[in-house]
Amino acid sequence: MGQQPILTVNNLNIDVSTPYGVTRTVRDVSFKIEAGKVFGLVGESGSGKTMTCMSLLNLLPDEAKVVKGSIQFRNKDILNYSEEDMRKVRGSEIATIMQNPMTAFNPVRTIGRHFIETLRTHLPITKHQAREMAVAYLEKMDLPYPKNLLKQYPFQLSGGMLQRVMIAITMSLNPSILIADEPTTALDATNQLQILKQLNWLRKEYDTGILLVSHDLGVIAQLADEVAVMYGGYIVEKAPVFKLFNRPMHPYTRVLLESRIGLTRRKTKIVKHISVPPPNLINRENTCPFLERCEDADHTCSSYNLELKEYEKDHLVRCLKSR
Amino acid sequence: MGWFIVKRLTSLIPILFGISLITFILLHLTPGDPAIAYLRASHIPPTDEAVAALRVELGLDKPLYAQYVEWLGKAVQLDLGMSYLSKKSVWDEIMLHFFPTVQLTFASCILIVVISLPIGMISAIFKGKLVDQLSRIIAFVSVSMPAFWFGFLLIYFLSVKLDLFPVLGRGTFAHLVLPSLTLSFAYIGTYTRLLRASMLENLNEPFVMYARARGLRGRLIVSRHVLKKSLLPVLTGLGMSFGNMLSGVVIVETVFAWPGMGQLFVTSILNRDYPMIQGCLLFMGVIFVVCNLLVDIAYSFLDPRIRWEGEK
Ligand SMILES: Nc1ncnc2c1ncn2[C@@H]1O[C@H](COP(=O)(O)OP(=O)(O)OP(=O)(O)O)[C@@H](O)[C@H]1O
Ligand code: SF4
Ligand SMILES: [Mg+2]
Repeated sequence: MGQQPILTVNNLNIDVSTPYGVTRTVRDVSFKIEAGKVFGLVGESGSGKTMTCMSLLNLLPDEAKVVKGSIQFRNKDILNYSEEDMRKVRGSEIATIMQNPMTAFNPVRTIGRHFIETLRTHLPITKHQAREMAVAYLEKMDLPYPKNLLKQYPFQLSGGMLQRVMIAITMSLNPSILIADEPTTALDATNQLQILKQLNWLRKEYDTGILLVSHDLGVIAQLADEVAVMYGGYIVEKAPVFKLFNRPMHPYTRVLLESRIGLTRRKTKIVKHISVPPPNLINRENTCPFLERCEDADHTCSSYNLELKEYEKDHLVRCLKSR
Repeated sequence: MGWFIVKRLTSLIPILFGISLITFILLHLTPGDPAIAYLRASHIPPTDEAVAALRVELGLDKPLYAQYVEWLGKAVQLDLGMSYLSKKSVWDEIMLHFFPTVQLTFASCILIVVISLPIGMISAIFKGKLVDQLSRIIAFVSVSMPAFWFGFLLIYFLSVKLDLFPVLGRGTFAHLVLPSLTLSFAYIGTYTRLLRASMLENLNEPFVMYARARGLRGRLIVSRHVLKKSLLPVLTGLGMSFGNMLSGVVIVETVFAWPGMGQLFVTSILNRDYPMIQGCLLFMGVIFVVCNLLVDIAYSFLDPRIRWEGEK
């Protein structure tokens, strides 16, 4: 792993203003993505995964704002980029595939138009050349009858096919970073597997660094090299994938792994965890985000010590009592 | 595509049949004897003998269904009878008044599109900014100001004071300006807001996010992605308004003495000119249905989902 990272996120903090006050949505998030590696991000709903992803593209919603931190892409902080500079980066350098392929495409435009407009935005080519490129990349994704496909409308394709079209569009511009925010959640099992295979092939063939967000630890285990677990806006544990799965240290990570392995065996315990409401992110004090739901908590945890500590090489945990 | 049109066309047949039936029955349910109305319109005293003789002559003594069949049979050959008032063919009279209305309608629709689309678009893009506030005010005025009043204002300032346009009547292109401006004004507010709302809704769609994530230029996203999809509800509305205007706009036509369908219809009602009323009603109904058909076809061009549903 001695490579120079392509993307380095440092101490990222994002606030979201809501009618009820300012939410501290992302806190002190740091990670690196290297070429050809997959960085996995897991965590429950609302933990800030999507916000983190959107900030990498500088596409946060109006209410959300990066209040602290830096996002270094090829040694330049993209947070300082002008909108036009950032636009050129999107799609060509940092690309994304969306969670729900069925809504990501404009229903009144053909697949071909989507593909060609993307290529022609970033490359000085004619429509005809763009169409030929599109056909070539659709073929690479094993999509049948690519010429015909270009004339079709999104609603005529299945979710799995659309997801592969999205990957084909992404690949055609050969980005160095791909953000895949729950790329398989909306798909059935067969399609999921196929997409994962294609992502894996993509990073090997093109050396693309991938940020893979998922609820599904199975997906992460298959693909990721390094994993970060998010909870309440914080990364609570970060480690190479085998270390995290073999020796989870943070209580929340353990809950996650347990709920995956023994849904039936330990039902009662899980129900207990779920029955506690998720953390209230507004005006939260600097205590451990997992405090209310943690089984290992005691009085020392309410003191504010929230550092991500390295307990063994490359294995970082944000918990006072980690073993 | 062709299949879709054929399907829509065949569905028209029962609708048109229904329209003719309703038109016919409605008039026979209204109080008053057409024969008496005919005599009055012709300035003949309605004596019992005269009425009886006329009833036979007009076929009013036959049973209702026979009258309907006869009327419909002639109507499909564009023979709508003869006006009690002018004693001219109803069809010819309608044609005479329909053309000015078509003229007015087209001019107004062009104005509506040319004015409300840019305003709606700009106020969606600059939501909450000054332009948006201004457009909100314009829209408010447009929908709340009565057409006749706006028409009189235009006449007073632009014709009487500044002498830019003729006051009344029809003839040159300049005659068309004020009536179409008046007619379109009320619609402009509606369509500005409709387009704005539709665009704002679409701007929040995931496909816009994906378009931005692919690095597309903002201008391209608005023009190719958002605008096209946002036009769908506007188009539906415009089609209906178009049909409405074609069936005549009484107030604007009256204010500007524009010899259109609205005038013809109102005059025929006031004089109980039964064949003319029937003719007008039937004609307007058909126009309205045809307009809707055209909108549907245009819609299917803009929205491929509808086209394919038709093929299934
Ligand atoms: N547009 C928005 N306006 C206000 N708050 C938002 C908005 N989008 C997200 N949030 C809030 O930000 C927090 C983080 O959301 P985010 O979408 O990043 O979570 P996530 O980890 O991606 O969850 P999921 O697994 O459900 O996708 C949540 O508490 C959410 O309520
Ligand atoms: S710091 Fe305390 S409350 Fe937080 S996860 Fe660790 S043990 Fe649980
Ligand atoms: Mg998310």
